Amino acid sequence: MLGYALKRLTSLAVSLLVASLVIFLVVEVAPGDPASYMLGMNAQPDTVAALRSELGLDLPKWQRYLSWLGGMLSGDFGTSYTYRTPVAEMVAERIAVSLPLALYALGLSTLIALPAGIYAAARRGRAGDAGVIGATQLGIAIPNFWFAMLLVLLFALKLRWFSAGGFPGWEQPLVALKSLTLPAVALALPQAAILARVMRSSLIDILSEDFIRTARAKGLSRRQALWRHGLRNALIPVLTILGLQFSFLLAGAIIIEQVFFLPGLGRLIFQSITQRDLIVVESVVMLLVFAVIAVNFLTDMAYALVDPRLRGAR
Amino acid sequence: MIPSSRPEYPGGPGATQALLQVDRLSLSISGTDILQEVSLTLAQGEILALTGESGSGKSMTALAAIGLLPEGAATSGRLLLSGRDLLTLPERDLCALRGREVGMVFQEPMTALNPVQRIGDQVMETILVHRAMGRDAARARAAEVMARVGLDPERIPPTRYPHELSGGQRQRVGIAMAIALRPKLLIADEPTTALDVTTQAQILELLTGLVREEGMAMLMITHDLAVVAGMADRIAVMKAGRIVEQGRTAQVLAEQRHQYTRQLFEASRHQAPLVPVSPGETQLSVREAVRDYPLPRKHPFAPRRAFRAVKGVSFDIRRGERVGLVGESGCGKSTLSRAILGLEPLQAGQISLDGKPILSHGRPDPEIRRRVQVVFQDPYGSFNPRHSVGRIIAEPFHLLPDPPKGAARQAAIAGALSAVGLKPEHAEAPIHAFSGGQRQRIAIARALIIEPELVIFDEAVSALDVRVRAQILDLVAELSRTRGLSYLFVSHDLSVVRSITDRLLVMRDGEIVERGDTSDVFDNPRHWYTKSLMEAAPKLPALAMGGDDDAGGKPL
Amino acid sequence: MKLSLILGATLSLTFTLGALISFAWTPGDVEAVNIAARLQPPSAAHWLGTDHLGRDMLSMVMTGARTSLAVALVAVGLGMGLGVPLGLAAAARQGGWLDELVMRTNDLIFAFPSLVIAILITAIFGPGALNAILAIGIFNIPVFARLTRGAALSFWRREFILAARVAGKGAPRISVEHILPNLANLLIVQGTIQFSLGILAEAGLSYVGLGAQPPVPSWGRMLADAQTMVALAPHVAIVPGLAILLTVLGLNLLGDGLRDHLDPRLRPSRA
Repeated sequence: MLGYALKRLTSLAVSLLVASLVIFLVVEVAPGDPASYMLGMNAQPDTVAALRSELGLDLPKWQRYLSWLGGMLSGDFGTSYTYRTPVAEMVAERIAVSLPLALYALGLSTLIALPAGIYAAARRGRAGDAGVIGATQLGIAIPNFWFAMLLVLLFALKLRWFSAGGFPGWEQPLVALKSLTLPAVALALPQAAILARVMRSSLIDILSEDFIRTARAKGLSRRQALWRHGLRNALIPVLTILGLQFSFLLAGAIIIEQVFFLPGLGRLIFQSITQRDLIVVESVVMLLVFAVIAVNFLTDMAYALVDPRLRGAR
Repeated sequence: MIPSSRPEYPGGPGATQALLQVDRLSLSISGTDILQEVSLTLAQGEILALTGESGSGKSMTALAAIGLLPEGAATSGRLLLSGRDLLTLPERDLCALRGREVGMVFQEPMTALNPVQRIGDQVMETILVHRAMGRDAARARAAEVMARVGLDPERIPPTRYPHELSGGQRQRVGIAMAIALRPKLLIADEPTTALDVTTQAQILELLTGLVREEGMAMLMITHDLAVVAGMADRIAVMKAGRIVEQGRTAQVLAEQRHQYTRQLFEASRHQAPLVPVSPGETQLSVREAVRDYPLPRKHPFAPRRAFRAVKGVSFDIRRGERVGLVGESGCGKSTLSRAILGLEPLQAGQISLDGKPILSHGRPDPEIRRRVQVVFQDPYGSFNPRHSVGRIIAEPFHLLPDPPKGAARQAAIAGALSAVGLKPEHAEAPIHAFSGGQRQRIAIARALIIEPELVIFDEAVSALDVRVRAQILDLVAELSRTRGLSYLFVSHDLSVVRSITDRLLVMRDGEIVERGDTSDVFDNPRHWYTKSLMEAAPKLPALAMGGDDDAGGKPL
Repeated sequence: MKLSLILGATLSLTFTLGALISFAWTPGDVEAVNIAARLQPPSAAHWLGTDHLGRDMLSMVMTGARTSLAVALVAVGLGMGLGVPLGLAAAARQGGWLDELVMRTNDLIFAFPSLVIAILITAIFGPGALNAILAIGIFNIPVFARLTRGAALSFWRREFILAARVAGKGAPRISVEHILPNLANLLIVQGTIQFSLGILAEAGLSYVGLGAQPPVPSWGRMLADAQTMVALAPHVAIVPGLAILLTVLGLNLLGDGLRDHLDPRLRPSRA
């Protein structure tokens, strides 16, 4: 188990390093000089040069990469070109919206999908199964931002149960949670459709395995065999999808935030792009990538918990 | 072989009380007839072997007897266990009965156990699911059963997972699960088919011992008559969903009233007509061949390790010679044959054909390679499912600098097909139109089309039913006679190698432990491993073949 | 499940036809602004109503289909064209440096959510349909590379591949002659799935303004425009959304139907 974790950790570190390099280089080739942007069209060349050296933009590329990297490792994400405030502060403020939203959606999606998938697999070929399949077909095909608009139309504008957008902050947790509910549902349902399908087909595959027949020969009923032997084995591909979905939800939140006017990472990144605040873009993208890679690592660890074959040194 | 120290079972062989009574059982699945009017009886304490070729319906009969028929199965007739008809029993009652009154052991030990559950828990589950005893008592009983089936708690504690066990050990776990509640009936569906011959002997001994000791009845499904002969009280022979003959083992084997039984029996002990040859000069020379496989690292900073599959093997094959290579799975025989084909590089040593190395600078020389061809084991995996027979057979032409085209190519394909007993017009057909035996003929045609000097048969008859196997062996013998072909016949099955080779190499753990003329090695094995292989191989008794002397009469 | 194949093919064909017809003819002019006729509900004159600039919605949906289908198709083509050869090559040299490189690059790309790639690309080159194609296409490369490699590896272990090697055929030849034809079904099925995902992604990108720019019509931007009018005239939000939903649904049904029709054992991943 330790060797396995070590192996995964090493690859996590390497991925992060390579990803940071890629992000840095991509942002580096982007046209437009942040200093000129900040000072406007009519700035004097020497003022621009002074600002460039203040921002460290005149240093060699490799030096700037290293200082950016080193800064991030010590929690210093640099200073926003536009707002002159620490990027870390801005990001922390926005994450307080985006991360809870993604987790909320992930929770909803899992809560809906796993029972639906298990139910469909257990009733394979019957009406209940067909119903779940039909619902997942629709769920997969729905664009989540459109679904979000429909939710607003129905629950905010017609029924007035929820507000159509905005975020009141976490001072009143319940109110905050309520304002995240429609966005979370919009994010979760299409993902739940995918997850339910994976759960269903994985479980159906497992139920045709030899060891299920062995369990039945021991005297387990169909249902007992499904719960005691099928489920844990079927969970392995489901975990993969769950890991992928987290990153998808984080990124998907960027669009949904637009629909509901939520002050999350998505809004921050769009603002920063239009304002050429590249250091913020860099940091937010790096953060998202870090989240994805970290979740992949956790998924790998979860595999090892579910599947003893991975735990051995091999 | 049969430990009958405690004859406390009621009845015993010959007891009359019927535990299982199958009465004109017919079965169809989604409209396809599988079984027709099958009738069987099995008394308490008795071992009944159900035998027949693949597709004869013997496994379905077994599944019916534990009430695990697939969905869409329609039945008629009766199947009584202790007087209750399993065909009409509701599912709830069937669950209560499975594992408690009937236990079942399956063929594939590698997939029959739940990979994510400890073996002790899996054995315990049989007890707990029937609420037969409390948790602690169940754990103790599970430990007792596991010890009984030969799983030493010191070496194989119940906390192990299936992937940490060998095939034979997993099969023991499977048996422990099946007998944990001392069922009256044990069904074993080809329980040793996936195992090596020495392991097979141990498992068969264990099963027979358990049945005798606990007074269980056993329904044993097997395709192997030799296995049957050694352990069953009675035999039922199935063909195409019907039972064609049944009776006491000795009697059935001796009388063989039904023609099909006779055919099976003869095919099982078939001796291909091998014409003696006088070998010519050395053709293939294997010198100190070493093949290592890299193992994955334990962690990123661990040194690379390697598994040595072939450890410095040397031997020659001379022109016209027919050499056998036997050994159990994992002994390195397949790796060695792939190295001879130039498919795998050697880490040390050399393999050369007619004095020229097969691989030079890691690349095979087409001129050398065309002199060695191969026939693989799997009649289904050996052909690209999208190609026609003609295209498949002609593939080795790629090795020729100037391959025949047009009519010459068609003629060569037709010639190769005729040589293996197929018709030239088969060239147009897609491969899925052919049976397993026909496919092995096509594989042989593919190997022969560029007239190689040496053919490697890599378990080439292992996947075939006995009657088809006998025909393919005859074909190989005939090709050796008409074409002066030399070959290396790789197999795990001693009886096959015996009938078709002049010389024998016995391989174990990457080394050749014994070599010599086939008949000498069989008559007088010197290495302990060869001896144990021969002892372990199930044997057909030499009875009843009146007038038949040496060819069929030898044991094995 | 023949039904899903027919339904899927009908839906996909309808939208493809609509897109093709729009090159020659649309019921109304998609560039003619007529404020007087704005936000009209569906009627005999405008079957699907009009938008906030008074343009005929049916015409907008037909021309929008052009963008959606083209972007997704080219993106899938890009992913397949690069991903499949890479996957084949990686499988042919399993464990070799190329395999390592392909797989690690795949992992790296998977670490960037496709939307993040799009944002990065837009940050550099500015928004546009071409950049949307690039962003979706890049994400498709590892999908196809991974799928191809995995399936090809299982074939490399089969005996008929060994037989081809015994016949002296090299890895490139075996990959093209023996492996690729056996992967065709799998790739077709995954292709339709990626195609539908591409349409969803394109819609999302143009919704946030990173996709096709005006005056090129697109479903995503129609929805963005509709957002503030939802309360006034729900049909301007419902029509383009339904177009996306039905196209994606049609393609998914087509993919599932094809899978069952071609080979029921295939189960491509939807990751």
